[in-house]
Amino acid sequence: MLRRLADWFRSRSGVDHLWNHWMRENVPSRINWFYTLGSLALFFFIVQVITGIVLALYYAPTPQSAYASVRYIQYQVVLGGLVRALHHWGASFMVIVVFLHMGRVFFYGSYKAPRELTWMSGVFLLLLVLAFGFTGYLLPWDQKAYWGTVVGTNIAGLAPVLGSYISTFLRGGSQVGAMTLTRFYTLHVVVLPALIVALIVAHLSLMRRHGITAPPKYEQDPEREEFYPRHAARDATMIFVAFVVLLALSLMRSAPLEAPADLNASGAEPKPDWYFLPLYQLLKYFPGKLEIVGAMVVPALVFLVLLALPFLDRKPERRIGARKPFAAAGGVFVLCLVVLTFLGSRGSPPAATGIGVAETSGAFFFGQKCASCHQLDRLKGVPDDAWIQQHARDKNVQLATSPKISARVASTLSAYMQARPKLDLSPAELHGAGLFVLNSCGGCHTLLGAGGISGPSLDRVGSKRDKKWMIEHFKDPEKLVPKSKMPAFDYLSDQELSDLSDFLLRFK
Amino acid sequence: MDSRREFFKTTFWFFAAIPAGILSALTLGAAFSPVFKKSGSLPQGVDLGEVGQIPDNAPQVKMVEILRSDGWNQQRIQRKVFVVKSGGKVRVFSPVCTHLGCQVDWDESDKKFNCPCHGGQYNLNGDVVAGPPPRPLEEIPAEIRDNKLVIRSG
Repeated sequence: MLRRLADWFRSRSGVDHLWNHWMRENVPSRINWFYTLGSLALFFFIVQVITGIVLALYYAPTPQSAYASVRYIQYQVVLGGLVRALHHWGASFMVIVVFLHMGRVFFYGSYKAPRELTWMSGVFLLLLVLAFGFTGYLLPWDQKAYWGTVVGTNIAGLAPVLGSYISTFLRGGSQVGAMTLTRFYTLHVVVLPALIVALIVAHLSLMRRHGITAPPKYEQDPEREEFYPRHAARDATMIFVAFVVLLALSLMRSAPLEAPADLNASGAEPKPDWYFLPLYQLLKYFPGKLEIVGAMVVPALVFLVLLALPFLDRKPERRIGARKPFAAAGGVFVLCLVVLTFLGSRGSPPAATGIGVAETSGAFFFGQKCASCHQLDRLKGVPDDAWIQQHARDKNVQLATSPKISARVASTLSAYMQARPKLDLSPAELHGAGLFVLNSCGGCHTLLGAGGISGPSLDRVGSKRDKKWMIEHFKDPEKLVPKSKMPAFDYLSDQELSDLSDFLLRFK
Repeated sequence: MDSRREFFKTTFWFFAAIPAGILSALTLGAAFSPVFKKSGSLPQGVDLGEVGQIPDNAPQVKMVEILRSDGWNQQRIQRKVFVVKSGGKVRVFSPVCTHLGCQVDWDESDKKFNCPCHGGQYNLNGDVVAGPPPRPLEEIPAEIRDNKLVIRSG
């Protein structure tokens, strides 16, 4: 009975045909273990899909709930921490395997005619894998996620002409917030999966259409055999070993979860996941106006060269020894990636001057509320938020200001005091920081990854302008920047303009 | 040759099945997590008022505040209960119909708890008198302390 049911299912579904099509393909007998990397990449994609579906059962993409729901997954859901770790580390494994797979194809010259489209679809797949990494990074809504995305979307804003539109589109507004989270979530779980599945189907169909190449030195060997069972067994063995490694890593190290995203937090270091470190490091070599070269031009060129590789290297010879210029270029490229990743993992962010929005605000509030009684040089230790609030309410203290110091103001004050040894702001710069906040400069300008985007970023203004230019510009922006939309700050005194310039010129 | 082929076949299915099995177990375990978790319940010691003020044979609606755990959300919500004094006994009933979970209401003219969904009916003691409910209304354990009705346990 069961056998008859199975036969009926096989005849009606055509599952045998499917099996024969994919598993009984004739492949060169000489293919080796390096040929398992494509299957391995596909396996890791399946791991990401399955674990991702489970995470989506519990995740809520709103700023109020995202972090709490991820904590819930991590600590309350049965096996939730392990599933999240598999998803987190699986993403890294997938990137590594995709790179290795591309390396194998490059090394063996397998991208050559007639397999150009197979290679090109693979390059787009790599791009999609990285897009998954970028969009997934924000979802836990922790400090690293938030600030990493602030910087990432600002980089998109550097694109010529359309830059501000692109970053506003990505963020769903001028700031990273609720709209950004729902957008990234939709991209991560709906749009990108649909695109990648379509592209995987295309990639595999192309692979099937043109067949698999043998390693170059066995190119003339006519011996072929069916993929199943010998090569399939090798793929399965590789998948098993890689999965055991992934599982062991996930059991030993849970996926990181930092403090929840805090828009006023000091010391948040926006560092991307390791596979974006080359890009992150590259940005440091292109300061000021050249930033766009590191952020856009170089990555776009790399992408285009990768895409065009089969058309640049057109000779039919596939042995690496006969393709020395390409082998050398490929080697240099990999070396650059490794070195940039290494340097990026050690360094600090491009604009790490140690002062953020919280410290700036804190400096302002200190000048307003504390400076008439306190000299920071004489302060022993750094008071925390609770102490500051308590101190302000203390009836025995003669306050020069209102006793109402909100939790937010207290946190910026302590952030400023903690950062002060690193900052070493002169009294003029301190005053300038206060004027920056008081005049809402951050409403239009970004400073260290936070603020508005309708005006240019001030992160490196110190390397572009001098004090004379700054003061003149404050008084009459249009005189120096035709069609400038910035209002004139001519109501500020010369001293105030000088102090504000001193503060901003620190950012180099 | 055949034995070699069989070895590869066994290797393939063995090594393919293990990751598939582990992944399935992990993901199903996580997906079914709520099944293993205890859901929220009424807190202990909630004061439902003076016993003397509860009229005979006329169910009273009382609101009880409970802490509801809904995934990562914890919120205090008001939950309705019926307090019934009949035959010298005071009992507290949940208003949830035991058929498919709709909210029953007391019909004073009919002297029955009516469920609006599928016509379930319960009498003053919470017993089913008509319709599809399989069980009486759930009784919430309560006791009288210092002449006050108090919910006993969660």
